[in-house]
Amino acid sequence: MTRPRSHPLWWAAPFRLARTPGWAVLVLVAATLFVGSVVAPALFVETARSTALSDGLAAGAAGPYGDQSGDLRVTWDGVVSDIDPFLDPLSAMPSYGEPTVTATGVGQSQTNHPVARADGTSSPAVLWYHDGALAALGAADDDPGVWLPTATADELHLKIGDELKIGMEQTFLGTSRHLRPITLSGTYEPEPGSPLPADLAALPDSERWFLPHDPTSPKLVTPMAIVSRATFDRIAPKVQEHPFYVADLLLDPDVTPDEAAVAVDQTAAYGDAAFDGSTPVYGELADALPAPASLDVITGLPSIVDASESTSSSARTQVRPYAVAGEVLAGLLLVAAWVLIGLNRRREQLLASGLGLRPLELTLLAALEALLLCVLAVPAGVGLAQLGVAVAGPPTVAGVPITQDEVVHAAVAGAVGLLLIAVTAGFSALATDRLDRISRLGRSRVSVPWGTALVVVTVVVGFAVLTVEITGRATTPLTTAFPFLVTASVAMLVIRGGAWVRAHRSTRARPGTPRWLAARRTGPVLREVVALSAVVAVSLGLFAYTLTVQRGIDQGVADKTAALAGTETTLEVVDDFRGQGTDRAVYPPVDDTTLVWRRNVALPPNESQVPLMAIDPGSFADVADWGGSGELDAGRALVPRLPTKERGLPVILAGDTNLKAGAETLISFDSVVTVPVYVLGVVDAFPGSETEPGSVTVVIDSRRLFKLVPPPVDPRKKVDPGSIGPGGQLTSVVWSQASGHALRSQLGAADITTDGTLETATEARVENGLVASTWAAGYVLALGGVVLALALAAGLVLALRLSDRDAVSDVLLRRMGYRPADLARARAWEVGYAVATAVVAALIAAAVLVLGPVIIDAAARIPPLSQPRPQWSDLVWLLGVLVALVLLAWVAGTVLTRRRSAAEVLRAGG
Amino acid sequence: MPVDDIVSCEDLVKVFRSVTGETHALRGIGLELEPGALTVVAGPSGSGKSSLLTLLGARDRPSAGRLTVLGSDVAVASTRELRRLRRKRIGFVPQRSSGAIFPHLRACDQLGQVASWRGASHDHLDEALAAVGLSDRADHRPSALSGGEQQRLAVAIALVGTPSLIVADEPTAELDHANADRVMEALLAAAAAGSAVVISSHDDRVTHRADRLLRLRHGVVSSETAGRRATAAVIDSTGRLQLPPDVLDLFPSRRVVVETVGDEVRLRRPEEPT
Repeated sequence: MTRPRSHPLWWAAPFRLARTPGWAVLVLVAATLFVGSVVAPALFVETARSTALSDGLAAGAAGPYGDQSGDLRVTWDGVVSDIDPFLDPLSAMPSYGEPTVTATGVGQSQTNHPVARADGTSSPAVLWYHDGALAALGAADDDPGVWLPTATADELHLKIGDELKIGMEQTFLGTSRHLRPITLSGTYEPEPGSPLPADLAALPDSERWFLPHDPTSPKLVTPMAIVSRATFDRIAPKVQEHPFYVADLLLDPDVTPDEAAVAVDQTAAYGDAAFDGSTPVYGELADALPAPASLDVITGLPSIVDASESTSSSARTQVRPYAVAGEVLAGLLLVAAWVLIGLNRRREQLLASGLGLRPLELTLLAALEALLLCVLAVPAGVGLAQLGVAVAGPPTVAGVPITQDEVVHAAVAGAVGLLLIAVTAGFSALATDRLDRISRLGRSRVSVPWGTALVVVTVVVGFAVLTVEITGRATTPLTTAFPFLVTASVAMLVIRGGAWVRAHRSTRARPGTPRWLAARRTGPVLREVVALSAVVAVSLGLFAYTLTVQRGIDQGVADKTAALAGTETTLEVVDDFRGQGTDRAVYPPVDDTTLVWRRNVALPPNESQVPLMAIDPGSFADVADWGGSGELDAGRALVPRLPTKERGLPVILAGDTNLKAGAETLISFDSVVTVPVYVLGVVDAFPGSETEPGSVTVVIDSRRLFKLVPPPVDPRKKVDPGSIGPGGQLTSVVWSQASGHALRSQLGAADITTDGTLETATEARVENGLVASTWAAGYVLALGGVVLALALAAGLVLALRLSDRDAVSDVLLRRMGYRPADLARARAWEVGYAVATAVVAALIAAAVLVLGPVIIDAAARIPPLSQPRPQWSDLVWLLGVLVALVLLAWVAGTVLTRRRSAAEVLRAGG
Repeated sequence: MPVDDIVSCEDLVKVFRSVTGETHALRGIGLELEPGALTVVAGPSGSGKSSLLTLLGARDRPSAGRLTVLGSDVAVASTRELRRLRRKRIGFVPQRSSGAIFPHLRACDQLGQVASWRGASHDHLDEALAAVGLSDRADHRPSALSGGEQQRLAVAIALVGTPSLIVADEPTAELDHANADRVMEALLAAAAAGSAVVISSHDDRVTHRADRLLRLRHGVVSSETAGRRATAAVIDSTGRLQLPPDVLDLFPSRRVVVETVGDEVRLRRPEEPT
C-alpha cells in the first residue's frame, strides 16, 4: 500500500479546488472582482488626476508663458557676472527640459530708442541674444560681431565686416547717444511680420521666444541686432540699455501628477532663493549691472496642479459611494460563492463535525483552499481594474498607471478576500456543528423577522436620507446603502407576494407537461432557491438603477454646463456694439452667433441684485445649449413669447424665486430707471442662468428692453462716460457654438475686437467639478456591468442548484416516461418564474429609486438637479437578461440531465 | 454506572421538532455498553435505531434523560469535550457511506488522517484496509470506489486506532454476504480487542453474531437477548413492559390481567376464567 501522508487533509487543501474547475472559476472570478473593486477607485482617482493634469497642460500648450502654461519662465533685469548659479538649478529642475536663455534690451520708450548707427545715420535695432540663434544663422556662438536685418544694413550702407555703433539714442530735450562700436558679422532676412530671422522663425517654439517690443507702438516690429551673450553683457550696461534676461524651460508633456507636484515645489524653492541673502543667486542679483536686479518666476504649473488635484478630489468624492457599493457587492459575491461551495459540501461538513474537526481547523482549511486563487486574484484584479478604468474611466492617452501603492492595495484586498472566505467557512462550520444546535425540550427558538426588519430599516434610512441637505446627499454612506436596501426590500416583498399568489392559484397547465411539472416543483420552495432568486432580483434592480443613474448623471452634467456656460463659447466684447443703433445692438454680429447683454438689476421684494440677460429671441434658441435631459426645454418654449405684448415687459425667471408665472413686478437698473415686467414663466435653469452668482436670473428680450430704458442703460445710444451710474452699463457677450479660435477668427474678419474674456463650456465643466461627474458616471456604468454579471452568475447558479435538487426526481421521472428535454424545459420554466419575479422586482425597485429622493447629484448647488433617467431600452435589457437566463437554464438542464448516470445519482442519495 | 461501562443511559428521550409537530424518536431508553462486546440494535424502520446510535456516538444531545459516553455526560458536556471524544475515542459509521468519507482524499489518506487524530500508528493502516478487503484500493479516491467499497472504507476508518467505542449504523446494508461477513469479522475483532461495538442492523446473519441484541420498537427497548440465553422483555423505570410481537398477538383486546402466583407473574386475557 502506498504510504499515506501525515495530515493529508492539510496537504490536499491548497489544490483541492483544482479538482472542481467550476467552483474554482467562481471563486477566482469573485476574488478578482473583489480585488478589482478595491483597487479600481484608487486607480480611477489617480487616472482622473493625471487626466486633469494633462488636460490642463494641453489647454495651455503652445500658449504664452503664464497662468495657463505649465512651462517655466525665469526673468531677471540685469547683467550678472556669473549666470551659472541661475542656470544650474534650472538644469536640475525635475520634469523640465534644459533652460534656453534669451536676453534683450527693454529700455525702449517714448524718448529712448535702441539704434544701430553708421555714417551719421541711425536705424532702429535692439540688442537681442538667444541660445543657439547665432549658430542657426551660421555664426559661432561667441561671434563678437552683430547680425542686422538686411534692410537695416542697407539703410546704413553697411557691408559685412564694416564697423558700426550700437546703443541707445535719447531724444528728451535734445539728442544724446550712448553707443559702442561693433563689427557687422552678417545680415538676415526677417520673417514677414516678425523681427526674427526667417531661419530662426522656422525653429520649434520660436513663436513663444521673448522678443523686444516697442511699448509706444506694440504692433510695430522692432528690428533686432543679434549678438552673442558675452557681447550683450558687455554692451548693454554701457549704452544705458535696460538688459532683460529670460530663461525658458519646457515642461515634459508626459509629466505625472507626482512629478508635477515636485516640480512645483522646486520652482517655488528656486524663486525663494532669489530673496535669500545666503544664496549665490541673491548675491549675483545684488551685484547686477547696471543696477541691482530682481528675479521673477513665471509658470502656471502650480495653478494647473491645484486644479487637477481639485478635480481628482472631486472625482474621488463623487465616485466614493459607487466604489463602496462595488466593494460591498464584490465582497458579498465572494461570501456567496463560498456559501454555495459549503452547501455543495454539506455532507462533508457533517462528516468533519462528526469526526471532531474544530471550526478553527475548518476555517484554516478553507483559507488554504482559497489561498492560491486569492494570490492569482491579485494580478487579475489589478488587470481588471486597469481595464475597467481604461474603458469606463477618465479619458487618458497615457494609460492607467499602476503604482506601488495600488499593488499594495491589491495585495491587502487579496488578503481581506481570503479572510472573508475563511470567516465564512468558520461560521458555516459553527452552524453545521450539530451539537451547537441543541434540540433539548423546553428551549425556545429565536426567530428573527428578517423581512420586516429589512423593510423597517429601509424606511428609516429613506427618512434619514431626506434629512440630509440635498447638496450633501450624494456623498453620504446612507446614500450608498439606500439603493441596496430598497432593491432588497422590494425583492423580498415581490418574492413573497409571488409565492403567496402561487400558493393560492392552481396552474392551468395541462397535467404532465413541463410547465405543469415546473409549477408543481415551485410549490415547496427551498430557502436556497429563494435566496438565489433574491440575489438575481437585487442584482437586476441595481443594474437597472445604474443604467438610469449613469444616464442621469451624464444628462445632468450637460444641463448644468448649459446653465453655467450658456453655449459652447462666449466672448465678451466691450464696445463694438455700443452706440451704433438697434440693429448693431440686437442682432447677431456674424452668422451662427447671438448677442447677449448682461447686467445686474434689483428685483423685489428684497431688491437683491440679480443677473439680467437681455437676449435676441430670434437667434438665441438656435445658438444656446439646452442641455441633455430636456429640463431646460421649458425655458426654450418661453423664449418665442418674450417679444409678445403683455401687461409689462415679458421676462423669464430662472432659479429660486417666490414669483409665479403671471406675476407683475419691477426690475430696477438704479434708483431712477425702473421697468415693469410680467413673468412669463419660472424655470429651474436657463442657458447661462448660472454664469453670474444670484438666486434668480431675469431673461428679457433685448430689443424691447432697449426701447424702455434711457441712454445710460440703453446701449444703442452713445453716452457720456460721466453719466454712467454706479450700476454700470450692459455688457455685450457674443455666444457661439463654434470653438474659441473659430469665433475669434469669425469676429476678427468682421472687424470686431476679440481680446475680451473668452469662456468655454469645457472650462465651465472643469472649474465646477462637472468633468469629474462625467467620469463618475463612467464608474457607475462599470459597476452596472459588474452587477449584471452578478445577476447572470446568480441566475446560472440557480439553474444548477435546481438541477442538483432534482437529480433524484429526474431519474425517477425519466423512468416514468419523461424525456430529458421535457425535464430541461420544466427547469427552464422554473428558472423563468424566478427570473420573471426578479425582473418585476427590479422594475419596481428601479421605479421607487427613480421616483424617490434625489441622491445622485454631486453638484446639486448648480441647477437643474441630476436625477436617474429611465428609458425603454432599460426594460429591453432586463427582458434580455430574462431570456438569456432561461436559455442558459435550458441548456444546463439538458446537459446535466443527460450526463448524470441514474445509478450514480441513486447511490449517492441525490 | 459500573466503572468499566463505556456507555450508560437512563430514560433517554429524543424529540425532533418540525413545522408539523414533534416526533418522539426515543421514549426512555436505558442501557449500558461494556467494553469487549458487540451489541446489535435491531428494530423496524422508524423505531429509533439511528437516533439512538447518533446519541451514542456523541453526535447529538438527548432531549431528556441521562447519557454518559466514555465518562462524559452528553447532555451537559461542553461542545469541545464532546468533539474531543469523537475525534479520539469514538469510531462512527453513518447510515450512508458517502457521508463518512472525504471525497477528495485517497483511501489510505483517509485512514492516515484519522490515525493522526487518534494518535494511532500508521503501521496498522494496511491491516485496517485488509480487514475490510480494500488492500488493493488504497490509492483510490472515493469516486473510483463502488458503493460497497465506500461502505467498507467507512468501516475501516471507524476501526483505525481501535477506539474505545465503535458505533455503526447498518454497516452491512450495501454489502454482499462475503463482504458483510468480512466487515462483521472486523467489528468482532475490534470488540475482542477491547472496544465497545454497537451496530444497528436488520440482517439476521448480523444479529445472530451479536453478544447482545436489543430490539427497539416505538422508541423503547422492547426486548434484550444476551448470547444464546432466552429473550427477556424489558421493564422500564416507570414499570412499562413491552411484550414480544408473538406474545402480543395473544391479547387482541390489548387488555391483560396480571396475577402473582408465588414467584411467578401470570398474564391472562380478562375474559378467561380465573
